[in-house]
Amino acid sequence: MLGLIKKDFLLIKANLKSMVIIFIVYLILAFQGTFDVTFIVPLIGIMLFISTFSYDDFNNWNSYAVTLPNGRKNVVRAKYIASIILTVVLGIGALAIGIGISYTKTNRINLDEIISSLMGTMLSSIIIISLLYPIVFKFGATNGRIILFAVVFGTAGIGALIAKFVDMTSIINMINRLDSYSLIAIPIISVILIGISYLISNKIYQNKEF
Amino acid sequence: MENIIEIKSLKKKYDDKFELGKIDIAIPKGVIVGLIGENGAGKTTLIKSMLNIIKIDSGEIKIFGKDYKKEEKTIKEDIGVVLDNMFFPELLNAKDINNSMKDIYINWDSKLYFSYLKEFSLPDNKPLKSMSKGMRKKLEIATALAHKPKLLILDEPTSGLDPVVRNEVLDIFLKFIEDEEHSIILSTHITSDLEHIADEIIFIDKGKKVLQKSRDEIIDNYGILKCDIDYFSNIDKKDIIAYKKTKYAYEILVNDKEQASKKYHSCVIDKITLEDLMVLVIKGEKVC
Repeated sequence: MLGLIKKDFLLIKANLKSMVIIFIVYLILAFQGTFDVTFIVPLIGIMLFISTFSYDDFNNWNSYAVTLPNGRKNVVRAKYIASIILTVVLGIGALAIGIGISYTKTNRINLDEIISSLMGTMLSSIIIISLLYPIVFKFGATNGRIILFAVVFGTAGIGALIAKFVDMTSIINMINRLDSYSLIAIPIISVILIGISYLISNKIYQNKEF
Repeated sequence: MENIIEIKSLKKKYDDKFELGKIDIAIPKGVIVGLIGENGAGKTTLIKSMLNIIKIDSGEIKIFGKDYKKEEKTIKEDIGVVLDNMFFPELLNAKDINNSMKDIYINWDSKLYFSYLKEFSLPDNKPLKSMSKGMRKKLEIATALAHKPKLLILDEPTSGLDPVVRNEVLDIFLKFIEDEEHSIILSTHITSDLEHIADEIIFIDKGKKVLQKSRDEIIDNYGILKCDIDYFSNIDKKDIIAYKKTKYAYEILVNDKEQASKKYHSCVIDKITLEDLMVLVIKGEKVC
């Protein structure tokens, strides 16, 4: 499995060159305060990682990967583990940059704010991974992304509709309450989400034909 | 002799009406088996079933006497694979592939891998997308060999290679089976390759196995009987496997050319190539 994780990181490394300019632009915008760095850095990471699925599809990688020892199990495991590693590493990176920006601008470090913003981003990364991966394993990278957009916008649309008719204050209060426990709650929610998502992806991939 | 692959009553049906089966195949140790058949005959489906890339509907596949359901990992540690489509991520280079593969196969031998790269004159730091199709095929073959497998399963391994490299590759295949423990099953359109190296030929047509015989048996016994149009009616229907009518003569596939030459003095009997055999069986008419 380590070999498959390496393969994904090598792919990201090879793809990184084309992303450097976008990265720099985001960093400049982050310094100016247009974007929050803790938001953008981990999300770029996830985007990079999702691109590995596209390369896998485009190069018929999966039909070969399943012929490797324990291929079917390891492909799924490697994708999840590698993206969690990437999310955490980029999260730490974003934290460092965030502290740097905060310090240069205000000469003090607003750690609480940075951490709570980072936690929010990490959770959204995890939610994206958990939702997207089973869909991508099932339908492939291109179709999977389209389906995910449909699901996200669909949910947002329905949410907005519901909000029109129902009083949302209680739900918002609940989320706010959750926020104060976020240091404990977010890791627990993440583990549960990723766990369920992994089980579903694994089930899909075990029976997939290429 | 112990069998390295044993397939019993294999069946696989696709939605688009293609069906493979029922197929029985036994492949002993120490041989090269050539899989021939026209496009869409089922060669790739058969190979994908052997590798568990697709799930079979029924039947049994045993490799090294082991079952995929129980011992998939051990089986796959000992198989080297080349598929018909290119499959390595094109952004990677040969070094990257070594870096990943050494943590995938227990027996991966980096030294051996790089020695194959050298032998095939492949660069190790150029991304695959800048390599030619032939170069990528060679890289796939090097990768299939570098973990010292016992069995090679190869789908069109020599397609896209120039004759010089093809001969190099065929020599490597011959060396691979020298110790009589290793086997190779390969599908190919280049039937002349098989005439050089294959010990056995399996011929698949429309999802069915129509023939499995040793290459020598085919080349020594099969032949093409050529007779003029008037004489054709004198030929015993039992002797005709398939025939083709040309402008002035009939070409008849027979499976015992010695007997046929005694029986039909006035006809010429030509040696057969695997290509002739394929064309006559697939396109020729049959007397039933």
